[in-house]
Amino acid sequence: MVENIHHNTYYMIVDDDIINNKICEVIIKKNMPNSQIISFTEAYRALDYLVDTNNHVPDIIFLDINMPEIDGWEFLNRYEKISNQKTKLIMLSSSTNEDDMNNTQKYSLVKGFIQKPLTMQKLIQSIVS
Amino acid sequence: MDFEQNVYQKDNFFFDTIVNAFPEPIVIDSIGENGNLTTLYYNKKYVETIGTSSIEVRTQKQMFIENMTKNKLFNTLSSATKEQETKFIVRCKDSINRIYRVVFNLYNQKILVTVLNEITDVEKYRELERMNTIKDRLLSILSHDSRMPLNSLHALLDMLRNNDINFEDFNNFLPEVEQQVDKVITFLDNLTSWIQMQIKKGEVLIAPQMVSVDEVIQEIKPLFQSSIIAKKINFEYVPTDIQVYVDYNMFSLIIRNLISNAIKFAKTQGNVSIHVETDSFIVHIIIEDNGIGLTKEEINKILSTQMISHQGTNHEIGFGLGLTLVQEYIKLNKGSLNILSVPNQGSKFIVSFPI
Repeated sequence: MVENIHHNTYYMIVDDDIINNKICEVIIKKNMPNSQIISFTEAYRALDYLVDTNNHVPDIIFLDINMPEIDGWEFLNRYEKISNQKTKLIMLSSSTNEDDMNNTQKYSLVKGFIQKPLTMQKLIQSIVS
Repeated sequence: MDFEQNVYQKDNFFFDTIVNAFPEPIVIDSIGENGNLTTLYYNKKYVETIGTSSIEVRTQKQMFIENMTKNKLFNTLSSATKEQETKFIVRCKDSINRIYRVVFNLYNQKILVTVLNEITDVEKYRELERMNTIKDRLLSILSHDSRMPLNSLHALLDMLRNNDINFEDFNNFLPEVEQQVDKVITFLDNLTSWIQMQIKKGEVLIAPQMVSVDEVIQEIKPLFQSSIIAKKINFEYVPTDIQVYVDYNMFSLIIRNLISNAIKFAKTQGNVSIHVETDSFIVHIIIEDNGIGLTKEEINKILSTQMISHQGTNHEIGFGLGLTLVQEYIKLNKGSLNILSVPNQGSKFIVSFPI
């Protein structure tokens, strides 16, 4: 368990792969039992949630790239307009494509790129960096 | 000065020396009143490599072999626009096919000078490069996409072992894993068939027999079940007793790929249908979806068997490998493929076999 850092962090996971979402949930809960997690398998639902000001704003968003209908890039394009700058957005993808990695650098709000699957080490690295 | 009479003379030492100094095969013909060609002169290189009997020419685009007389060759080429690159595969004297870029020069509408520039190496290099790109992409799919279900399974087993999830959770995730596994199996089957075709180039054995279309569809249906459920596809198929005369395994792979494509590009909650129609000569198997559709350019690319790839609407892995195989197999079984499609409305793939 990670002591003293981000115990009450609020995580949002946007990925159509339900197995990945479960992995994230398990790893986050295990290391930070007090954190909260919300996951979306459809990107547009996540955007709807983020637009609604009544909702609690997540501290960290893990975003997948390859998703049907609205993919990670389209999500970023739309999210850029409503982002509060406080939320840390991290790409979480199984992509090993260099173009994908380079493309993320075009978005200032993307703070990291994690190769799936999420592990405890990758999680800690992403939140302290 | 009359070229025909004065410059070209068999014993014209000056002319001979110059033309024979060229490393390219050159042939000089006179054009008669009726447009017929009479050869006046072959240079040394021409006689040595191509030979003076009628040229066996194969155009790259049409891929047919025929004994083409120079007359016909000239007509074919002169009907082409000047800008068009004219490449020919010429069966040379030593029975080796060489690729030539052919340039015509017309003199006074009477004399035709033809220079053949061999580009076999360049073409072979291009082909190698293309094959290499294909292999790179196949390897990348093999090493990346094929791992996905294994990664998922591994993660689930890991979580189960550590009591992070219970058996009920584990069971809930199995359909997702199954779907991923099915896609990889289809890909690996295609890959195996493709590799076999590459190895056996030109001598693929086919064993045609009367095959029940229904039997094949029923057999392969379970492979799509998980995708159909996951994408909430409305799958429409009315069983039929129609039979086709084809190689069973090839036919199965053709139909499987086309159904898999239809599901891949159908929208969530979309429709995929299979209809089998027949008249007394031909059986049509029509596989239709109302998905993202294809542009004219994309259809042309598919029909030219250039491997193109699209991720499906549910990021299904793809590569164009399936469609390349489909067309090779249809051709081997004397069938034909037609594609009708409107972007954003859907596609119709019609496979036809003679009875």
